[in-house]
Formats: sequence, C-alpha cells, structure tokens
Amino acid sequence: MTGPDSFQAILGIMLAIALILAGWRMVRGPSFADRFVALDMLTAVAVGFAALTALSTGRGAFLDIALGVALINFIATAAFAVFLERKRKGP
Amino acid sequence: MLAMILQGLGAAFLLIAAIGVIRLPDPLQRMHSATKAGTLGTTLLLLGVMASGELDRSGSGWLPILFLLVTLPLGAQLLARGSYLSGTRLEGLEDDPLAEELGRPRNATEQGTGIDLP
Amino acid sequence: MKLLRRIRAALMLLAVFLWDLVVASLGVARIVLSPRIDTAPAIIVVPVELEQPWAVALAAYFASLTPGSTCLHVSDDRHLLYVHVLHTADAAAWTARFKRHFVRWIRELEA
Repeated sequence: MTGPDSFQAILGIMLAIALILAGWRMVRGPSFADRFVALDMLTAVAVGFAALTALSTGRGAFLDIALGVALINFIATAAFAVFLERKRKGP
Repeated sequence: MLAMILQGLGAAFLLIAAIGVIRLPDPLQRMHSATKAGTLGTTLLLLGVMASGELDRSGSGWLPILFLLVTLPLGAQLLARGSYLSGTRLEGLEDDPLAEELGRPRNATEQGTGIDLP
Repeated sequence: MKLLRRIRAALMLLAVFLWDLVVASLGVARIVLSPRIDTAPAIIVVPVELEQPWAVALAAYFASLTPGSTCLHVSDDRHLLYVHVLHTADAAAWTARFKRHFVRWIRELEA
C-alpha cells in the first residue's frame, strides 16, 4: 500500500496528532496566554488541513479557505492580545 | 517528488510545533514554538500542495503564504506583549530589563494566570 | 548607484532572512525534540542605530519572524528593542549576530 493516497493519509494523521496536542494545551491552560497560543496553533493546523483538502480533492478553491482562516487568525490574535493587555493587574 | 518532500517537511514542522506547545514550560516559550515553527510548517505545506500540480488552479496559494508572513510577526509581538503585561509566569528568566520600563506586575499568582478567571 | 546599493541590501536581507529562518527553525526543533527540555530564555535589550520609523519597524519585524526570538517592546525614543529569546547562553553574542545579520543591511537600505 504505497502511493500518493497513503502518503496523504500519513500527512493527515500527522496533522491530526498536532491538532490533538494543541487542543490538549487549550483545555489544560493553565493561563489565558497559554490558551491563546494554543488557539494560534490550532488555526495554523487548520490552514494545513485546508491545504491537504485542496490536494486530495484537486480543487484550488480550498486555498482561498486557507486564506480566510489565516485572516481570522490574525484578527483574533490581535483582539485577544488587547484583551490580555487591558486585563493586567495593578502593581 | 519535490512536492511530496515539501509536504512532508511542512507536516513534520507543524507536528514539532504542536509538541513544543505541549512540552515547553511557559507561555512565551510556547509562543515561539507555535507561531513561528507553525508558520514555516504551513508555508512549506502550501508550497508543496501548489507544486504537486494536481489542482485546477494553484495561483491563489500565494495569498495565504504572503498574508501569513506579513501578519504573523505582528500577531506574535502583540500576543507576547499582552501575555508579558498580564503578568504570566516566566520560567528560567534571570534578569528582566523590561520590568521597570513597562511596570510589569511582580506578584503574579501561583497558578501563573496573573489574571482572575471570570 | 544608490539604487543599486539598495537593491543589493534588500536581496542580502532576503537571503540572510531565509537562511536564518531555516537554521533557527531547526534549532527550535532540536530543543523541542530533545529528551530533556533545557532552555535558557532571556530578555535582551538591543540598541539599534536607525533613524526612520519604518526601519525600526523592519528590524522588529525580522526579530519577530525568526523562530526563537520575539520583539516584546520598542522603547519610546525608538532606539531600544526588547527581545525575548528562547535559548541563549550569551546575550552579547546574540546582539552582535542580530546586528551583523539584519541591522547592517537595514541601515544600508535606509541610507
């Protein structure tokens, strides 16, 4: 069982493991910053999955989805960073 | 063949970044692993997919790569500054020249959250 | 002539950046995959002798984009970068390397 299909399956399994690890960090925390970092990681894996889907279906439109996910990722990161900064404790 | 190598390297870097998110001891170090090894991974994976020649149109793959390269440092810097200011726990840091400049709280909580959970 | 020098500086910056990206990524991968996590993080103050705001922004951008270092804060007079580094034994060596790799070419680009 070799060939492009099984190679893509291996790539998918690797990304799935990365997804599980990042999700675990998001559930465990322990701080807000950890969870936001994990969210960043999750969206990076989501971009990877979009690229893999484009490969397996042969449709270039999934690359546009990757762009959309990356865009949302940036806006979410900026918003959460501002949120963290505003919630700082007094000295 | 080149496409497969690029795809494999990209997925491997994503996996390494995720392992780093689990294993490294504090949020700022985890961020190094997540945002930047993660970007290299996604960039390589996208390049590999575009180079495979199995897509009906692959030109739009350049847009996410460009966008990630432009916005990721900004996001990383914002997130690092935010988590630093929120008084998160930092391991193994000896001297901190930035503490006076920004007035970072010294009394971060035991859990390392620094902020109260709602 | 000036344009040529600028193009050369931009190309050098790109080449150095790509090289640094690969080397630093492999360094981070080695740290993450080693059986015992043994990092020595540090916050380093890097003085940059750049005038234009966009040049300082470019330096901070390159500091943030290479794995293992993130710009945390730029001082108000735009002459100091505060950089968090994942693993370094020698802060002075890191500063010298950053200047040799990036600040030199950015200054050329700015001139």
